[in-house]
Amino acid sequence: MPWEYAVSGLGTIGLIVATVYAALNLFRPASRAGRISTIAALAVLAINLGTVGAGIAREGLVGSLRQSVQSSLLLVSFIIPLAAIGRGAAGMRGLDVVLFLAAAVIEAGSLFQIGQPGMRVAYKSWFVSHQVAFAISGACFVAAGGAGAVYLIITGLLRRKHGLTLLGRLAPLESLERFGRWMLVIGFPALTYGVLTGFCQLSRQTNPGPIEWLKDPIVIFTLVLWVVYAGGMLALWFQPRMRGRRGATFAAAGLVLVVIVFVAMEHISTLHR
Amino acid sequence: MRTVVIGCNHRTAPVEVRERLAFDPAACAEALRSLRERFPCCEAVLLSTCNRTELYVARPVHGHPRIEEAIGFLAENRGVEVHEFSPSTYHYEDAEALRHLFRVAGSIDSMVLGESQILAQVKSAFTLAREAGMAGRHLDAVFQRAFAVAKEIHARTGLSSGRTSVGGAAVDFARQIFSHFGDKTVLLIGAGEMGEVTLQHLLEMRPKEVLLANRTPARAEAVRERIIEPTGVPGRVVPFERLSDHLVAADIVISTTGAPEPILRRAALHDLPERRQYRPLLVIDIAVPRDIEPEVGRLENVFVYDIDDLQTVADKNLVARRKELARCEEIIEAHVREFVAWQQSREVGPTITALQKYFGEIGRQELERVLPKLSQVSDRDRELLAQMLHRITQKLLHGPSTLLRDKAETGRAHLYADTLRNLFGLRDEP
Repeated sequence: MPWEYAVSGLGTIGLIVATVYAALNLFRPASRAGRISTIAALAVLAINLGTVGAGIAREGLVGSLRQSVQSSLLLVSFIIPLAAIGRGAAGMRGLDVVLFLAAAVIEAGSLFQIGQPGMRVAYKSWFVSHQVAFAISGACFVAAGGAGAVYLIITGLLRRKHGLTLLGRLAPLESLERFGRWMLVIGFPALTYGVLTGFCQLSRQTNPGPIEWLKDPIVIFTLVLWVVYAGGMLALWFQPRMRGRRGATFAAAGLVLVVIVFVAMEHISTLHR
Repeated sequence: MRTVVIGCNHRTAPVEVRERLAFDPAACAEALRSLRERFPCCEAVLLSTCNRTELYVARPVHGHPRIEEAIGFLAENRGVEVHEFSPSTYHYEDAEALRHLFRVAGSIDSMVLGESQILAQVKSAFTLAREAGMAGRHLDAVFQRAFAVAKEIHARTGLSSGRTSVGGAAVDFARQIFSHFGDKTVLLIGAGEMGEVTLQHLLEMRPKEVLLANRTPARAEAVRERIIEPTGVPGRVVPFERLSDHLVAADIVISTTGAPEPILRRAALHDLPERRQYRPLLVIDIAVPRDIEPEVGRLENVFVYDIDDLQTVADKNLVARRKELARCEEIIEAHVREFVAWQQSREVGPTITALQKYFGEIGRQELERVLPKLSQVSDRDRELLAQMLHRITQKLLHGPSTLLRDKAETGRAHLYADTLRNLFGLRDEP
């Protein structure tokens, strides 16, 4: 158990370091800050993947991913490469700061999941994809939300004409918008898959039965999340008005909802433990 | 070899002097040929831009041209009296000359700090010298190092970040909003001088199309022919009266009319975002009085900037670049120290080898002269005598060799090396 605290604690510290240095890198692009940030994030990624791998080796794929903490580490492991893509792609400067910060919050949240028992239900190995799909969709929504947040920050700077020395050091609005949309396009089907597999499993549950499962807060919030994103996606595609600031606001607000579902709800849910 | 630079730049000489000393590429090549005829042992690179004329020379320590000779050569070549521009010149030698070149190539010595054009100009000057056979082993190493220093400065510092002109700042705004320009339309309203300068900067981004709207279409047509056509970017003159329609098509608007009142008001443009399907619109209003009502900037996805905003960005970027100067100087100092040490060690090695060979040869000749006069000398005796001579030579040369190597570390070895070469008539091994 103490080593799990060490993993999550070190991961949180590493991601905070990555966030701080990624922010410093914006102000001094040619300094070593970018390298330090990348090294810190990669170290966290290695630790997380190592922990997930060790868990799988010890308890098997199903047993390991039943643990909430393992799911969170997996989620963070998906977010870090997205942040790295943001860093690597010249057009996505600044996004890494927000994504590392979000990853740090989720990693810190995993500290509170340590020791909690996994789901006390029996399921077949294919059902592992339920959790993996949620981790992918979570990472994509976090990335879309991060892009939205950076979009809003840049728009604010441009409108108020503040921080204009950062011009050219942050991602262009057009790139952020496109990246956010792509993340939603990838994340939403993954979320849908996760929901559908959840329902498949739910129909097989007897103790407690499907009705009790539907009353589980995490299921309710996940359905809310799905409806919100489905509506948002439709609006983004068919309503030109949703371009730009409104779309970014939607994605950024969705980020909050995702964090609630993926982190906070773990503590409220009684059946998803 | 010693490295010397003489020249004048925008700080030391007014444009009246600089223009008289300027060389075009043909004149530059001709001057280098003339220099080679007069001073065959030297290497030289002639750098001539609108802000500076500099002659970089590498010559043997006691060789030519000296500073006065180089100044005299430039004056004679350009038909200028020495006393007319001599007070405006500067000259540096060895490490100082290297430092100066590194500063020039790194754009620290430029009128616009951090501009990128100077590096290309230094490269051209070096290429020209090489083609003229005037850039030998020494200057080749010096200039290659200068290019490496410039590259490092641009990569590791923020010296080139941001734009420092009003037109450049407009590009910075555009690049903050748009990621690619191949599908963007630029609309130029009016034909003011600043608008043309800004348009020229934006044309570097290769937009899809440029629309020109002017109350006098002939003037717009003239701008199209003069500025847009040479770039190959499609451009067309559009009716000024249908400005609101063009605003729907455009992504970037530059307004620069001489109108006394705003030509675009928010009340008239309230439906513009909807008509544009909420695509972002960047409006650069360079006119004074302003052409665009500031409230237009409150429309959804419309960003409006005036001349003061652009100037503010340009000024802030310049301040930010100045803050990077200390880091640039650190990089340059490190390279100067390293290069001088490397250069000296490179020069000292052949001198020591030549010295050993020279002394060894004298010993061998003396041995061959004496041996026939000795009676009953066995092979073993011959060998012992040869070894003794070798040891004497080594011991005699140990002091000077050590001194040369020590001086190489402090950067003053060339004086000693050159003295030794002159004293003993040494020549480098090919």
